[in-house]
Amino acid sequence: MTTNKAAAIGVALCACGGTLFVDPNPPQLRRVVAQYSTHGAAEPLIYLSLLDLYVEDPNTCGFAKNWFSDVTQKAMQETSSNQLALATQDLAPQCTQREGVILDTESILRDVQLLMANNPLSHLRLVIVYANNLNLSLPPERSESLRTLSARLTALQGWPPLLWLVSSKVIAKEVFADATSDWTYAGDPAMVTAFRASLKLALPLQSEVGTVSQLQPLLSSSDLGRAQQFKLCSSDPEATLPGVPVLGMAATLNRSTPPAWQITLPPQIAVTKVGFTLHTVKAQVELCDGNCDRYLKIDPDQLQQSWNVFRGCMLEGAK
Amino acid sequence: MRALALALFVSLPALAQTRVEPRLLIKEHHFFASGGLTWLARGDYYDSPGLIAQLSYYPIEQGGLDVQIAGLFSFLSTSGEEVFRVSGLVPDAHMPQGLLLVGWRHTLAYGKAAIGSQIFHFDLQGAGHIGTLITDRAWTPALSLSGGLLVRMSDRFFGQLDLGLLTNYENRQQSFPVNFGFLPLLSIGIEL
Repeated sequence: MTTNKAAAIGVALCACGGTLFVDPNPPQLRRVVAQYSTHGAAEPLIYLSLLDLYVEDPNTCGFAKNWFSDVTQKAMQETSSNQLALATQDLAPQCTQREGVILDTESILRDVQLLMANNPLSHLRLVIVYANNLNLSLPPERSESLRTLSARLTALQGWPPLLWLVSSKVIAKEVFADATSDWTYAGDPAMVTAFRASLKLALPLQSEVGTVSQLQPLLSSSDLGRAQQFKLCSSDPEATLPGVPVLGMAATLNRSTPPAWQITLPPQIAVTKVGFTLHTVKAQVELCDGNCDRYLKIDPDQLQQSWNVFRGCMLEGAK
Repeated sequence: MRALALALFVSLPALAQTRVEPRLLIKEHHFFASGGLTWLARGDYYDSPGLIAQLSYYPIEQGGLDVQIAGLFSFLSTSGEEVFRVSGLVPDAHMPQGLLLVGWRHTLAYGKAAIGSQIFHFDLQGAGHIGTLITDRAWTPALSLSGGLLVRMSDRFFGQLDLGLLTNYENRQQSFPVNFGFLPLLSIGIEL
């Protein structure tokens, strides 16, 4: 009450002249930011090429298939040094798309299962590169077989495969794919460049296993040594701070039980590089090294406020 | 007609006694050194009385160079003291501690005044100074404009009264950094 009265007297007097009153011994404040960062881990790249090409001239059928297989292989090698290719499935051996070849889902699943057994610590997600150069809708049985493969892989691995469509625009509109590249013509260097670039942007897939960290110190030992009191100014939702007062409330630093925080991060499993979010969790703390009960003003129109009574951090915008 | 004759009768003897007082306050090629009191009042919750020393040299009769050095003995005013006593807060204004100014002093008019049996010769002067207001925290840039009187008191002694406006720039925690103050000074000195 006395303090408020004094501050009021001060402000009243200040209003008369051009001079304002300040504390000769203001709180010694500083801000620190506690930060917790994680990094994604690149997963092994496993991919499967599905060739479903239509070539009018039977003499160039082999060339088209070899060319695209070669392009895919080189692009994948450039993308990741740790890459494994499943055996290419040629769904149109004669390049007519009428051969009635059925997608061999079982063999794909067997291969994937084997790879999973050999890489138990990795989060393998199959990248299916489906190439179809015909500017027509997919036959229903082909769409169905792709859906079935996706569903069975999801059941096997726990997450769906990544379908990379290299096709005409018509098919790209019909089939839900994770990524698409335009098919122009076999041997087109521009198509190769674009395909490689888009692969590099997305692959290899990245994983971050969900983290629940141990309780760890919120403040460094040097901060603990100097500060007398602290306030939590802000914290990201991924952080929990057991025992730390609510935002903006001053608390005395107890060096035997220093403030700590715990981070809980959601998992990100085998997502594309562009879709991967790097997690950095922050908490801002205002430390008071001395005169913690003294006055500061955070707004010219407000009264002087005692730091450890005022609810909120004062350093930002303090005058 | 009768009134005119009466006026002539009264004034003729008086005209016979009129004498011209020669100009005695000569400044050209002279130094004027003086010391006295000053008080800086600028609404900063400090009372700032002080002692001031001035030295002027007039290369021409109409004006001269001027140097002022003042020591200010500032203390919290009664109202400032009251706020400090109750809340512990102090003004964010710097506490003035001294002045160091150089400038030009210019004669605007010369006059004489008879006070009792004494005749005083005086200059009405205007002056402008630049320099620094020394505070408890910094040497702050300052500028002053003043008007006043330089009064001859005897062959060697003179008095000087200046009423000045002083402005300075100082970094304050909250309030506006450009300040204005009233700076009167009264000094007595010797002509060299």
